[in-house]
Amino acid sequence: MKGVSTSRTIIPLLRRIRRLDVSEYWIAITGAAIIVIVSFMAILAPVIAPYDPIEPVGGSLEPPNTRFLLGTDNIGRDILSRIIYGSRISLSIAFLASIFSMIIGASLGLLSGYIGGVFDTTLALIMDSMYAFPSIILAIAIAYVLGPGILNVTISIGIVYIPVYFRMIRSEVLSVKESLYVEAARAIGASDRVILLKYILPNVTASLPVVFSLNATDAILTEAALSFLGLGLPAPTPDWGFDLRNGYHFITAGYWWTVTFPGLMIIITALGFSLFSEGLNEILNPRLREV
Amino acid sequence: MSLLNINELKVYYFTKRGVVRAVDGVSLSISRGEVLGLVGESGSGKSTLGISLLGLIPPPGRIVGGSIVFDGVELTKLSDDEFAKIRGKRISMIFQDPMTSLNPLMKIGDHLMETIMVHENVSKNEARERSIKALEEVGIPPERFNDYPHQFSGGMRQRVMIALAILLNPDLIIADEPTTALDVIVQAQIIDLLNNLRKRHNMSILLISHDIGVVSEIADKIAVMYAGHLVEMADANKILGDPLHPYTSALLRAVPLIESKSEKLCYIPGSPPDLVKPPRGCRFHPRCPYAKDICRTREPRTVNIKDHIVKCWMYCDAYE
Amino acid sequence: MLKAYLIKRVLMAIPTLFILLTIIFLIMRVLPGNPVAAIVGTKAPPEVIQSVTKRLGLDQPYHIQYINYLSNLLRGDLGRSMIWGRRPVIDEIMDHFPATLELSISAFIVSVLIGIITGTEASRRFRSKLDQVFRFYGIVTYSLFIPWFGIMLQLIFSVYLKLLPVGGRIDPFMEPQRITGLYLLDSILTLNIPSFFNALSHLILPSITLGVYISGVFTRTVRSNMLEVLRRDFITAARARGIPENIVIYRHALKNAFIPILTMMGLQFALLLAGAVLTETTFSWPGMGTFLLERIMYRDYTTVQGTVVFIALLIVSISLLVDVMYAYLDPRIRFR
Repeated sequence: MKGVSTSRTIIPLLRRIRRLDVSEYWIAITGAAIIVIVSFMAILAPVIAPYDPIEPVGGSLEPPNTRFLLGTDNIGRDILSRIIYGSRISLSIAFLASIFSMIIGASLGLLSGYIGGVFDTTLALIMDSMYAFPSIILAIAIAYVLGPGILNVTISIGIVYIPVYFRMIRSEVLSVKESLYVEAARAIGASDRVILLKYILPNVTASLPVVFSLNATDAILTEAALSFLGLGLPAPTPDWGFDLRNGYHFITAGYWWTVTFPGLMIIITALGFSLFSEGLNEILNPRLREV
Repeated sequence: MSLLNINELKVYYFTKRGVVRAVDGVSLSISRGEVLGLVGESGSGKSTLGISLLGLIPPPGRIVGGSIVFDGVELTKLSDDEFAKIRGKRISMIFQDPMTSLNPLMKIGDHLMETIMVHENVSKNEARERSIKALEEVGIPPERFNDYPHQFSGGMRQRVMIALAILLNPDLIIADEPTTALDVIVQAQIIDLLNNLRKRHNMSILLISHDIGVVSEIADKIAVMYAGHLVEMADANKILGDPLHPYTSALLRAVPLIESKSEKLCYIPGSPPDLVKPPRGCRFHPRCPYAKDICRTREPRTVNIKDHIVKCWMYCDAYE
Repeated sequence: MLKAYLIKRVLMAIPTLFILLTIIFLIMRVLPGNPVAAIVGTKAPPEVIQSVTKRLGLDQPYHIQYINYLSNLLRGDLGRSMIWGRRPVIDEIMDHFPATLELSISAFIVSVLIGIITGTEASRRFRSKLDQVFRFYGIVTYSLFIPWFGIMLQLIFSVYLKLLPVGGRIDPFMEPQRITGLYLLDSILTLNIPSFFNALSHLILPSITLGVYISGVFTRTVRSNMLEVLRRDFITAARARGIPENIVIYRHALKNAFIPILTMMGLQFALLLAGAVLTETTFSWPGMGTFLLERIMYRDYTTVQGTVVFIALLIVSISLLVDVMYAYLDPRIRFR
């Protein structure tokens, strides 16, 4: 039975990869490279960061120089070190929140699509309404209620993106539910649980990596947004969004390095995920070619 | 005095799969006021030939050789701007599916008026007058001037397309499968209409179709294409009565006639060739009942037997 | 019939609205976290806690709270603010809504212009270098962090070039007389030219920031819709009539690609609002975004709830409006 899911996704995928040329996968490769680099930055932070990110190690608001490559913030902390350590926070929150969303959203989508009926219709309506609502505002509201802290931020972001997975998985389940091999499984008396796990699940997860990556992009941006707005993590923790907020107060006096570099990191990391998602999408679902 | 002279035209499509030789060395000519029927299966290259005359070959296709001379002008060398002046005004085209050939968001009156005003410097009122007249000529009442395409039936939409085609009194109309999307009764009406208009305005028509029956109604000359080659061309009655090329005979036999006694449908065995790697020699040889050795190895010469052109080894005096 | 379509659409909007309101209720009341403690602190004496709880209606059982909540909303009562003058929430919202509206509209215009031009030109040059650049643009803007982009613009244009103001909506004492609340419109209506230019100069950077952010989505949609439309027969037929290429693209093709684009634009309104919150914060723009955040900081429970409800209403109405516009613009639906 595994053969069913394999032939649907893996074999055509391999055939497709063999026929690719550079112009088609440079996007995915670039994205993946960025993700890998930032991940290494996060893992190896204690090794590669020149200074302690929380302690003041230099003068206040020193411009980029030989001691502090990216300058210091108003408390005298090294910005480069803060950025390197900041990757830990951003990446872990982004990954955790996305996994949280995916597990809950996909499971709900799977169940809802399979069970159908009023349960499905109601849940779908709820999810659609959530989906229509601006994600940031929802995240703000949830973060407000839950309070600050890493776990709460992760949960806020996680909740906001549940509808995305829900909708995607549910629509796939709905289309797969009526196919022949599911009917066959039912005919031989397979239980609902077996059908769900062994037959339906493998076949609807094809586009998960693309959505997960895109979701990670949003998660990074939302986490940075929450921190920027002051709803994220508490003070000394090195966090890109927080640093951006902190440095923001000094731009009118021309201290550009306090904001430029943390912000760049946010964008580059987010870009890594979105490029990877877009590139992966191109590979798996090629667009219309020439007529 | 020929109006249109196509000489050894080659149009290839450069796709990822390979080079599709859609039109591979076709020569023909059309005189003023003449109707040339161009017949062939889908994939024969007849539609490509049609749009080459307007310089609208879609990428990845392009003209790689040959010439098209229209009233003294070499069309293959025109820039797109220069070509735009000819399109619609001196050469116009009627497309196969009238539903998709009209802009669904534009009133049909606006279609006509826009065409006039793009080519001639006239007032809106004059453009409207002429548009209404053109609609009347094709049998559409003026009250429908402000209607949208989806409010018309298929036959009437095709009439609108014809109105657009004759609007500026072109010298040549290319009709690409004008009746294929219509039912039989409407088909006859459209062909009649084309014929009358042609006579009244002294226009030439290049009538492209896979249906030799439709073509035979009004064609003066008939040309037959197969796999990018022109395999036979002559006066209509000669083609219909005494076809020379085996493909033409097969085509004629395949048309089921009401009077025919046999119950079996005659079809041509085999399938149209792949134009990326066409068969060696004569492209028709795999399906030809008369194929000889030479047909399998060398492309036949085109010979002209008293204004009856045919591309087949059976009619070449010496196989050389 | 057009009317039937509209009625159906309105009916479909009601359950969505209902669900959104319920979700907001659930978030505000049921999720863990103690709003009363957040307001008065954990060390307050029990009488204070009790009176605040009572005032907020939080001492009632949940279903009673829910019914009160809904019935109040139906009457258009969003409650009163917890702080300062205890003004009705709806009034406070209306103080700040025009600012967000003005920003949203200008950003929308910017994004539409960018999106249409880049998307159309990309679709004309399918798979060329420019096409790749524009596609990349779409991805980059999606990953753009609005505060950073806004701050960069501020650094360049306000701090270094000193061309434009760093933030705010208008300089003090320059506000035009209030008619609509939209400064540009009001200054034109009252012929207050200095106000107009002052307001305009403040509007430029935030509009560009938000506009660029939204435009990426438009670029991609315009491009893919245009690619689909350009394949259609009537485009070739129009060219065959000698219609110049620019007219074919911008009049025939774009008009046909536009309707699904418009629908998508309407649906992106939520995205616009989300972006507006960050843009307003960055530029100290006194709109609903900054208002909401400020009230969150002050723990003004009722106002926060009321504002979020207002936003939900806004979103549902906008998508309804878009559907109506869609039906009007497509003659196939209008004249059936």
